[in-house]
This record gives sequence, C-alpha cells and structure tokens, in this order.
Amino acid sequence: MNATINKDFIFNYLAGKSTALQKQLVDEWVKNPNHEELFYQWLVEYEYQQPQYLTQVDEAIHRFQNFAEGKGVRYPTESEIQALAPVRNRTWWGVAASLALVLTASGLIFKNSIVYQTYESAVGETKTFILSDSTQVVLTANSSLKVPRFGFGRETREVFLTGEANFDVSHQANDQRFVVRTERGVEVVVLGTEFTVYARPEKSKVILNRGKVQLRYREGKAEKQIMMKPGELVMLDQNNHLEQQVVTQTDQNAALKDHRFIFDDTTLAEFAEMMQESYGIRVVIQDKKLAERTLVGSFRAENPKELLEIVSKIFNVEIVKSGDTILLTNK
Amino acid sequence: MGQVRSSVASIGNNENGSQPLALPKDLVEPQSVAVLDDELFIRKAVLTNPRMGVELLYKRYFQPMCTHAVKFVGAREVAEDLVSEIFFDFYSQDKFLDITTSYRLYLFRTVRNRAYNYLRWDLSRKAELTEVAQKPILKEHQPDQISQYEELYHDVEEAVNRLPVERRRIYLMRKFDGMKYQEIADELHLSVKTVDVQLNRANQFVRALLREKWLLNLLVCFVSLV
Repeated sequence: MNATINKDFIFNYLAGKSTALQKQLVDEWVKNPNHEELFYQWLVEYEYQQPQYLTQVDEAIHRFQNFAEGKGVRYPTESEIQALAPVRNRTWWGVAASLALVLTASGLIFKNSIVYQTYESAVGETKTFILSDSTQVVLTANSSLKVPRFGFGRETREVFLTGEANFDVSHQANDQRFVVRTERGVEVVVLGTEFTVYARPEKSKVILNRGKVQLRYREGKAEKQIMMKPGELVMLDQNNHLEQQVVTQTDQNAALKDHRFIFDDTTLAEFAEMMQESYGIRVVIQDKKLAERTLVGSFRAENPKELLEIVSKIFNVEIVKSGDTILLTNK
Repeated sequence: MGQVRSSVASIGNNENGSQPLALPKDLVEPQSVAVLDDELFIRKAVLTNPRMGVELLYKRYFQPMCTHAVKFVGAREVAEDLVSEIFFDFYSQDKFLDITTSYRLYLFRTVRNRAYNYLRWDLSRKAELTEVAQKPILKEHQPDQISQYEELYHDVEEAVNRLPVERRRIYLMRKFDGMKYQEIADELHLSVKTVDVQLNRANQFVRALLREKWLLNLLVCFVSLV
C-alpha cells in the first residue's frame, strides 16, 4: 500500500486534501530517512509552485550581511569606529532599524516657515501625525519637527528635529533613505523602519534595537560617522565626543507611544531633569542621598502628576508643591 | 540563481514516479546521494566560506521557507523574522557542521518546528487567566507525527477562511500585507477605531477556533511527555 505515495500524493497531502488514513500513511512513510529527504524536497517544490507572496530575498540577505558583520564586534572601540567610518559609506543599504537617539539640539530656528511645515507639541503633550510619504511620527512633549513643504519624498526625505520623536518610516520602492537632522550636526540615516530620536540638551544618546543605522556627527572639525549594530548604545556629550558604547535593553521608543516610562538605573536627579525637559516641571530634591537613589523598571502613567505620584510611592517621599516647583523630601 | 532552482526541479522530476518506495536498502542508497548531490555546491561553499554559502542558501530557500512559515504564523513579518533567525543561528552557531541530512531537510524541519512552537506560544500567551494558571511551562517540542504540522496550518487557514468577508479582508491587510491601521482605514474608508475593533474580533475568532483544538491538544502532548 506504501507504493501509492509519490509526489502527487504528497502534494495533495500538503494541500490538505488527504484523508485521515492517508495522513497516517505519510506519518509512517516519512520515518524512513530517505523518504524524509524526499518529503522535504517535494515540500520545497510545492512551496515554489504555490508562493503565498513574494519575499524580498535581497533585503533578507542584506539583513544577514549586517548580522554577519556584527558577529563578535558588539563593543567596537572608538578607534575601530573611526577606522570603520570612511569605508562603510553605503552600508545603510537595506537597513531595518529601530533606535532611540538622544542628542543635543536647542534652538533650531528655521526662519522660513514657507519652506518648512512645522509640527510642534506643547509641554506635556504627545502628538501623532503622518507625513506625506506615510511615515508616522509621534512627537513627544515639548518638541518640534520641520518637514520641507516642497520636494519631500521626491528626491530625499529629510526632516529636522528639536526634542524627541518616534518615527515609523515607510519603506519606499526605490529604497529612498530617510534622514533626521539635528542642530548639532548629528544625523540619523535610516531606510524604512521605526526608530526614535531624542534630541535634548545635556547629552546625546543613540540606542539601536534592530537592524543597522548610520549615525553621522561632527567632533570639532572632523566629520565622523559610525554604523550601529543591534543592542548598541552610543552617547555623545555636548562636544559630540563619543562617550561609551554598551549593550542595553531598550523598549523606550515603543514606550513613548503608550505612556510608559522606562527607567534603567536612573537616579532621582536624572528623573528630575527629565520632568523638566518633558513637562516643564521643576522638581527639586535637596537631600543629596535621596537624589542619588536609582529607579529601575517600567511604569505606566498618563500624565506627569501620575508619574510623580508613582515615584513618590516607590521612594516613600513626600511631594510638596510650591508654585511651579515640586519638592521631593524624605517623609 | 536560476540555474540552481532549475536543477532542484529537474531532480525532483526525475525522481517523481520512478521512485520505488519498498526497495531494499542498498537500492535506496543512490537515491539519498542524489538528493544530497543537488546541494553539493552549496555544501562546499558553506564549508569553505560559510558566509557565502549561507547567502546561497538564502537565495534558494528563503522564499519557500517564508511561504511555508506564513501558513502557520499568519503574518509575513513574523514569518520572515522566524526564517531569518534560523539562518542567523545556522551561521553564528556553526550548525552546519553537525548536519548529516541535506540542508534543505534541516532548514525546513527547523522552520516547521519553530513555527509550530511560535503558534503554540502565541495561542497560550493570551489564554484566559484560568487556562494560564493551569498551564505548565511549555518547552519547545516536536510533534511526533509529521501530519500534526500540516493539520495545524490547515486549521489556521480554515479559521481565517471562516471570518466574515469584510473582517477577513482587514485581517489579511494587517497580517499579510503588514499595513498600518491608518492605511487600512484610508483604503477602506473606515475609521481607525473600526479597523481596530474588526481586527480584535478577527483575532479573537481565529484564536478561539484554534485554541479549542490545539491548546488542549498541546497540553495533552506535554503531559504525555512528562
């Protein structure tokens, strides 16, 4: 009875046209290693004949190449980065990246509001909108994004950011890149995916979750660029000097959108800074020891008040409000 | 590339029909050599230059692997991630050194197994609280009958087919074309909210149908393993 098992039989089986008894036959038949080889050979043939959809093999290979290049060099030293920079001009090709970038940018002033469409979010407000190339942008509190009114998406896609935003970049058929520029000459070049740019005073930080992204910056007069690989974190100080690279867990970019706040060994002092940046709320912690205590975890809060309450509960501190300033003190 | 593919097809054709199934072992032997032979070039490439070899494997098997995986997991992004990961592991963990079968067999067996386990995990993670409470920690496992795989993805297809037409359309736009809520809403002239509601219902429906048979089935499998 086994003799009935041939390619047609298996094709019918794969198409779901077999009876329970026939399935049982296949189960037995395939236990022979040679039959098993045959089975997979026919399976491949079957899948070639009935594709569910067409994949982008080249893109997948690019992802593999990125992965292969990243193998074993997850913590490149600064000299390595500089050595790499001039060579790898075009490796942003095929990038699928998700990153969070914190960088310094204060007064990006674009005088010409005719040339640029400006999106702004007020203190404590989150705004979502879609650009003409169907890239989705979530602008977090106290940020602004300028997008050219003319030619955007035709030749290049370049936007200018002050503050912090999450981009879900649409992929274009011609693999057109998407560039986020900031005032200090830090640029993020990406090709069709989702990432977050966080541009605030103090320091610059880039965290990459997935794929590969090119970061260009200027240190002194030298133009530099680095390729980031998944799991890397790059921090740039006020002079765009590269501070460190570590592997870190990053959910921040996703968190921005659903009002989650993620703290990873964040001191209360840093937390206070963040409240000032994002919500314009001045938080003062006079006790130095208290200011140095750190916060770890992910919290959900709709507004700054809620967040403050959560934090005060965790540290068991008192919130005293006086005017625009909030004082955190030990109970 | 075209050459490689056509060689697969021609070998398949030669063996079709003329493949006697109840042959004594020594006569079956040349068959297995032939099967391995069509990967001979890739095999050599993988062993001399793994990176190039894996790229060749991509060209040959990425498409059918994704096509196969998507039948289980329903969403092309998930399918492609799953398949990519298999290649990454294959390369970075030097898996190819231990493979005694054809790469094709290894890759497809792995993709089926991972897709199966993904779906199992996906069904269980959103299970009702009471179900979760009773659920032991699931380990990766392989069903002992090959037909379990086919049955699972045929059931997935069946479940999707049973969705009301409009809801199915939204479901497929989201899962299959990877469209965003806003894009679906624009194309169908619906509100984002409606898209959201429809997708939720579709998900629940598909899940409920699958869970009825498979979550229990999977638990039984687990218990019988213990």
